[in-house]
Amino acid sequence: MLFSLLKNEMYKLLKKKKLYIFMVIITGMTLIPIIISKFDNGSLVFKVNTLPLENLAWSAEMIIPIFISILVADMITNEYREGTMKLSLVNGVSRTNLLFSKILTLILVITGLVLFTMAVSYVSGSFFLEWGVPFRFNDLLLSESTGISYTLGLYLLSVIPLTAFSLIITFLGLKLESGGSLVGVTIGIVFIMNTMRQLSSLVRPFIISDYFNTGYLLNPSGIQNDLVILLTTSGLYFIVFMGLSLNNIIKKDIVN
Amino acid sequence: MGNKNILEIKKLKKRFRDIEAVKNVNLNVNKGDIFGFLGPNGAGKSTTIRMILGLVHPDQGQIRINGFDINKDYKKALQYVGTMVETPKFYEYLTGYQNLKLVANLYKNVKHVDINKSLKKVGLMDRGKSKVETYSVGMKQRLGLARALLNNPELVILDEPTSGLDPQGKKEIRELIQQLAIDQEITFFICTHLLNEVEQICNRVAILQDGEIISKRFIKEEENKKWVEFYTSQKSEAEIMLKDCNSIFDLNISKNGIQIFTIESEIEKINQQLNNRGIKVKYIIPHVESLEDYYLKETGGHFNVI
Repeated sequence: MLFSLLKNEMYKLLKKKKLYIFMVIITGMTLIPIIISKFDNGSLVFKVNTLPLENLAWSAEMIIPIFISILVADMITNEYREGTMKLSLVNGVSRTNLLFSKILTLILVITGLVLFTMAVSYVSGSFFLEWGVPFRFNDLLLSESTGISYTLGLYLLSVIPLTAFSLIITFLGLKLESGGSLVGVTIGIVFIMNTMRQLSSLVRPFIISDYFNTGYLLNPSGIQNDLVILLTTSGLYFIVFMGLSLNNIIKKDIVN
Repeated sequence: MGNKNILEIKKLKKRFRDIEAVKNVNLNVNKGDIFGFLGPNGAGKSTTIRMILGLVHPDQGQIRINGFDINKDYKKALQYVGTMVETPKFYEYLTGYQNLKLVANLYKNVKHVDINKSLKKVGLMDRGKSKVETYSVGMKQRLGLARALLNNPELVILDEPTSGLDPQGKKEIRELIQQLAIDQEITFFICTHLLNEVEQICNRVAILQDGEIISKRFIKEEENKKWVEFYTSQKSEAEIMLKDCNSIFDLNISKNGIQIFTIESEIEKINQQLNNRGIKVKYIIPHVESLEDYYLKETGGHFNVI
C-alpha cells in the first residue's frame, strides 16, 4: 500500500509544472557563476572541481527549502483544504501510511533536486570552465574522480538535514490552513534561523539550517565529529517533528 | 426485519467545541436497501457520514460496516465501500481517467478495464481523457459516482448525488442507482435534500434533526406491505405488545395511536391480538402520506431542505 501511495504522490508531482520550474531555476542559478567567471576578470574565477560545492550552498540553503515548502503546501495543506486528502483515506488507506508516503516523496524529491544541482554544475562547468586545481580534502589533493565521489557524498549528506527540515514544514503544513501561509512562514523560519546562526554561536549547533550546506565538512578540524553532530541534530529534529506530525494527522478530524 | 445489516451505527456522538453535532445516533442499513438520510441543514448528516468513513473521530459510539468496526478494522470496513462526499473533489490538472487511476492503484483487483467500465457506466467514456478542469459540475458529479463504483462496492455512500445535474442527468443517475441496486445488489446510503428524489428511489429513510434521528421508516410499499394507523389511547401497551411481532417491519407512536408497517393480510390478526390483550382500537386507518408531508410533520416544518 505504501508503494502504491508513493507512486500516486510521484505521479501527481510529475504531472505538475512546479518541479520543472524549480529545475529551470536551479539550471539558471548554476549558470550565474559560469557567466561571472567568463566575463569578470577579477578574483571570482570558478573551476569545474569546485563549482558544484559553490552551488550546493545556495541550492541547499535557499532554493530547496523554498521548494520543500511549496511541495508540502501542495501535498498536505492544499490537499486538505481542497478536500482531496480524504480521497485516499476513504479507500481504506491509513493516516500513518498516507503521511509516510508524503514524507518519502519529500525525501525522493530533495535527493533528486540535490543530485540535479550537482549534475547540472558538473555538466555546465565542464562545457564552459576549466577543471582547475585538484580537489582538496583535509590537506590531501585528490584525483578528479575521487573529488567527484567526495562531492557526491557531501551532496547526499545534505539530504539528511534537509529531510529533517522538511519534517518541520510537514508539521506546519498540517497545522496551517493555506498553502500560501505555509510558504510565507517557511521563508520567515529560514530567515530567523539564518539570523540566529549568525548572531549566536551558542545556539548555532541546534539550528538545522546550519547543516544544509555540507561543504563545511571539508574543514580539516575533524569530519567525524562534525558528522556526528549533523546526524544527531538532524535525527532529533526528524524524531520530534515526525512524532508531532503523526500525532496531528491521527487525531485530526477531516472536515474538508 | 431479518435482513443482514451492512451498516450499523450505535450510540454515535460527536461534539465540536461548544456544538453537539451528533447526539446518540442509532441506525441500521440492511443489505439491498436504498436508504435515504434526510435532515435540515446543520442537522449533522455530513458529520455522521464523515464518521462512517473514518474521517471524523466519534466521541462515543460504534460504527460497523459489513461487521467490521471502523475504528478497529478501518481497512476491512472500507474495503467494499464506495463514496462521494459532498461536491466530489478531484485533481483538476489530471484527466478523469488519471483521477480514477489514482484510486485504482490502491486496489490490487481494480484494472484498467474497470476504470473504463466505470466511466462508461456514468456516460463519461468519451471525456475520460480530458482534464477535469474542463468538466462541468454535472460531469464532475458523474465522475464522482464513477470513482465510488470503481472498487466494486457492496455499500455506496452518496452525499447529494444529483447536485448540479440537469433534469435529464438527475433522471439518469436515479435510474443508474436503481439499476445497480437491483443488478449488482449494491446497497446505497444517500444523503440528500431532494425529497422527491428520495421518494422515487429509496425504500427506507431516516430523518436527522439537531444531531438526533427523529424518525425512521419504510417509504415504499413493498409487495403487499403498507402503513396503517391503529387509533388507540393505550399507545404504550400497544407498542410493548407489537414491537417484537415478526410481521411488523416498522413501528411509530403517533398522535392518535400507533402506526405500523406490515403485511396487508396481517392487519386483521394484529387487531385481534390487540383486542385479546384488552387494547381497544377505535379505528384502523390506511396511512397514505407523501414523504414531504411526513418529513414536514416530523421536523416541524423545516422548508429549507426541499
